[in-house]
Amino acid sequence: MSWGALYFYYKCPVCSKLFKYAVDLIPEYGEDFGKCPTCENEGVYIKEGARTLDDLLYEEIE
Amino acid sequence: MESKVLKNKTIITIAPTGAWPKKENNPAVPMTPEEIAKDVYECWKAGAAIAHLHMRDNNGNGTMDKEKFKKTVELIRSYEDCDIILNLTTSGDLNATDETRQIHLKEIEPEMASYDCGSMNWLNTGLFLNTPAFLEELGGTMQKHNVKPEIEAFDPGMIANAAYYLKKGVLKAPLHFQFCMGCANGIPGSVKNLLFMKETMDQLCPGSTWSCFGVGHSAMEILYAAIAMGGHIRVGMEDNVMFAKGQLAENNVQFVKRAKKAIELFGKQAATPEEARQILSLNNKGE
Repeated sequence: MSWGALYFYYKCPVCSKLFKYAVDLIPEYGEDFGKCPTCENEGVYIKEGARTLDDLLYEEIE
Repeated sequence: MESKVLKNKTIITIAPTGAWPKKENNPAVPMTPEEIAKDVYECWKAGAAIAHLHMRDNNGNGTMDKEKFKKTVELIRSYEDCDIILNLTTSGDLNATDETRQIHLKEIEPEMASYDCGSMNWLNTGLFLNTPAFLEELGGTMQKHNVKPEIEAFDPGMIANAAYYLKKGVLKAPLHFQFCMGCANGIPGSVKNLLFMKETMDQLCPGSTWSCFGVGHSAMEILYAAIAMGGHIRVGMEDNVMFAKGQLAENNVQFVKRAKKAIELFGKQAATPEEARQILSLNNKGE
């Protein structure tokens, strides 16, 4: 039984971009985990969980 | 000893449903016995040799309802030309009991079933419990009913646990592993980690066969690496409801077709169910 990826969902406080990081990328991104891909500001944590209805609104960071 | 011909074969397992995704995650996830059976048949025609099955209750939640399993197996077997290997889950419902997690194996006697070789946290919200007592009992049930365990390992410790049960006689060689990569609380999905899982298996349980999948971003990385490293692969909406970044999967067949194409581009071939039976040393004629 698997359960898909677990994401942290963020909103950028500067440009309002919505984005998400899979938690298994924490080792890869380190301190950059949670930063906005556009303006590189620290995102504001919104929620966590598996993929949701509004998932496509959030850019997936890989 | 595996023949040279079989070494060139890669087994595709389709995991069409799983326990978590619902229609709201992807409208194409098959949920009812009828939907699952039709989906499995189409995936078999596309190149899948094994189907790993979960059931859902009438609200779409994971269930170990044996009647749902029976109905689905019966519907799949009603396609007389379909010889796909059936691999039934033993972990489709976090609220199931030790008894309901294995009663379907006793009554259906499928060729394969999953064996989750340790406990962990499920999506950081619940417990995925596989107690020592349950694993010992499940190993006994599988041996008695000639069901080949597919040992799901979410981290290297679970491989070590399989070695323990092998020495104890709860499991019998040759083992077959499913490396589950990138699930929350498990080992992250990367080629480096896949190599570590395989090396750990080779060291602790030599002679075992293995398959793997990556959830989310690591899906393709793990798929290509497995083909190159001589492993087998699992695809389907249990593990990924997205076909590519920002693109919902149309159906499970789409995953199987892509996997088959990747195998062929590499210079190998997708194993037929009969070839998979030889590779995995299956000797149960099945349900």
